[in-house]
Amino acid sequence: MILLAIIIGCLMGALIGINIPTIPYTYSSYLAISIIAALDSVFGGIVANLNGKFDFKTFVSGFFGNAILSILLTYLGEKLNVDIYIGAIVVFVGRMFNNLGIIRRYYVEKWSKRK
Amino acid sequence: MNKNKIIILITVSIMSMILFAVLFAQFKVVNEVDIAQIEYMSEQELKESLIEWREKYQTTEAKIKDTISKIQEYDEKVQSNEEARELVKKELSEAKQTFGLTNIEGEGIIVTLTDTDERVYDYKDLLSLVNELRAAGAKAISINNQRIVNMSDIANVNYRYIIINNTRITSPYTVKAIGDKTYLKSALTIKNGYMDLKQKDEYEISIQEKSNIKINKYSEKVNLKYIKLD
Repeated sequence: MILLAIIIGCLMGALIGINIPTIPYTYSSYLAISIIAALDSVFGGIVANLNGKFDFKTFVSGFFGNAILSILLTYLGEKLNVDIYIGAIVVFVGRMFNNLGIIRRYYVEKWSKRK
Repeated sequence: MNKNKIIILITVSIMSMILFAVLFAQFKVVNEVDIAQIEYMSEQELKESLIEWREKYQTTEAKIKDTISKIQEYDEKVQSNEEARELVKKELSEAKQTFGLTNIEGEGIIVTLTDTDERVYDYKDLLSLVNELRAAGAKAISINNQRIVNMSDIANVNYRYIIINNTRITSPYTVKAIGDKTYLKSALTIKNGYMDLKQKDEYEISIQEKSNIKINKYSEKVNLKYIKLD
């Protein structure tokens, strides 16, 4: 049921994303950082779900909060002439790898136990 | 299915929708904007591409110079062609003028010969008058608006009437000649000259000096059927 909701949402999102007019190049770095933040939240949510500590409110607030916060930080960094977005990317991508590792280990263990 | 679950489902689908919409929008931007690559290039790559572009620029510049010089060459050719054309045109118009194929005007004299009951002009009188005028430097001559060119004939038919350029003309004969008017007049009026002799023989003849005489072009078609060029 939840998988169906996700797939439908993804398809609709893809359609919208393809059909909206092109966003100016100036704003594309903000978009990129917000995408990374959102993906990080998604993987974090999956890991929390695997550990049985998933909380929906935390997940939603993290999804939007991280995205908006990263955009604000990037904006601030641009004003201060400091590449804060690099820091954000390092943190988010690092955490993503962490979470992906946890997910991988979980499934590998599950698979080897079944054998 | 309780209320909470529905809320969760809707929220999740909206979230994934937003995520994918932004993701694809970004793909589109990166695809369309080529400059995006430059930002992620290292300094070394930038240098290399700079060198590459500089070489491209140089070769293009050389090509442009080459093309410009070619264009100049063509321009010169066109100009010389035009000069040649002008020259040919000028020569043609000069040839036409000498041959009598254009209407011309200028200063000159008008000689009027009128038949009387006692004295009638015949073709030899006209012929010798034309000769005299030519000797005096007339540039163009016409008799009763028949232009005298080098192929013109002044002949008589049965000693009764005169034809010029295959056209019958009758008295009074108006002979127009363009040239130096004083010179032409004096050539005819000197003692024992054409006019003097005619007046002695009691022919009727008069001469007028004019500063502007118009002479029509040779109206017959010029046929060069028997003429071959070397």
